[in-house]
Order: sequence, then C-alpha cells, then structure tokens
Amino acid sequence: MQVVKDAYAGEKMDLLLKGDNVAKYPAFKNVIAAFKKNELLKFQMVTNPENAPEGSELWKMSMKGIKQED
Amino acid sequence: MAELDTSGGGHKKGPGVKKGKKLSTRVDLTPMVDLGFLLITFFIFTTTMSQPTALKLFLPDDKVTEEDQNKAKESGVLTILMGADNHIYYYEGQLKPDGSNFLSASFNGENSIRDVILKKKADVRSRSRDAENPYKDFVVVIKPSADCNYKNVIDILDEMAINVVKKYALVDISDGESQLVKISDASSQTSASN
Repeated sequence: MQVVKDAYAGEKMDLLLKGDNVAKYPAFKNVIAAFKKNELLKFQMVTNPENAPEGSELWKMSMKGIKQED
Repeated sequence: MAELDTSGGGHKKGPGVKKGKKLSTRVDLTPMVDLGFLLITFFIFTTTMSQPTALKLFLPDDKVTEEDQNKAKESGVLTILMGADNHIYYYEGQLKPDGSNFLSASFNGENSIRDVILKKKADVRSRSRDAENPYKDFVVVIKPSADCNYKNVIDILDEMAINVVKKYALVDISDGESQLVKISDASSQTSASN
C-alpha cells in the first residue's frame, strides 16, 4: 500500500475494496486496518447494490432529484 | 443495394414478339443508412453511463484527541450487532447488565432492521428540540462480530444509505457483546433445528 501511495503521490487515487460475500469480517477488518495505517481513509467498497426500495427515504430523495451527501 | 431482375429471361425472342418495357425495382437504401447513423448518434448522446456500483466509506482518523471525539446522547444511540448466519441484534442506549434490551432482528421480513432504524429515527425526532436538524442526536453504532461476513457489513451499510442515516460508526465488538452474540446465535440455531 505504501508503494502504491508513493506511486500516486499528488494524484487523485481511488481505492476499491472488493470482497467475496461469504468472506468473514476479520479479513475485511484487516484490510481496513492496513488502509488506516497508511492514512488511506477514503475508499469505496465494490458491491452490487439493488435499487433503493420503493417508499424508503433514499427512494423519495432520488425521486425528488436530491443527491445524498458523502 | 437491393435490385430485382425483371428482364423476363427464358422467353423466346423473335420476330413478331412484342417486347415489354423493363421496369426497375431497385430500392435505394442510402437514406436508411443515414437514418441508422442518426439513431446511433441519438442513443450515444442520450444514454447515461452506468453508475459505478460502489459504496463510499470515509474512515475517521484515529489520532484525534479525546476533546475532538464526538459525544453521542445515550437516548439517540442504536447499536447493531451482527452474528453468524445473517443473524442481527440490536439494543438502544447502553446494554443493560441483564441483557434485557438486547433484541434480535432480521435483514428482511418481519422485525427487519430497517423497521428498527425507522422506529428509532422517529423516536429521536419526536424528542428533539432542534427543528432544523431533528436527527442531530441519532447515531448508529455497527459492531460486526468475527463470525459475520462481508455481505452482512455491506448490507448494513446499505441500510444506512437507504434510511438516510447521517451518523454511523463501525466499531469493534467488545468481549461481553461477542459472547452474548455467540450465545444468541447458538440458541437461535437450536430453536431452528427443533
């Protein structure tokens, strides 16, 4: 991670964490711990999310065209 | 280009045979090609690119001093614990020594964690005195156990997005809570097998 961080120094870097559905949480936690150690605090987790369920707050927001803040 | 042969071959030509006028049935497909390209251009400009299917997670810096840490009101805290085999538990405020407020929920179906979150949100809103930001005190603490899987973590983070929970934290589970989750997992497995 340090090597990657050095290679992308000064550039915008997108980190994606992709995990198997059945992977146990400790493995995921260890990766997060490694990110934290290298001060990589912003990353994305690759998933396959479904659409927001109808009637939920997120659905209502998307219907109104409001984007959720990060 | 499409063209039909209308020469009428096979008939005998000879004196006295009247020759019919040759009619061309040639179809010019050039405008069709133009239309095709026009449609392709239209769809290229009007189609939006697929959104990346990724969930953003911003981790707080651990190196903050105690003064910088966020304090949460006990009445606004909902703690969610995740066990093995998609089991999910929760308690409001602090965990009572007798564990009487330690309850189980599910990811979907009856008594879903979504309903629990919405109920707690409504409760916090009804008690809030801040009209501008009624959910200011609402915090969800997520504690995944060692037996839960990556999918459960993603599912619960998705629930935070679906229910528009602004404040949530991914926290390590304590030993006592871990034991409680293991016991509850074992008892639910036993009741399921009976």
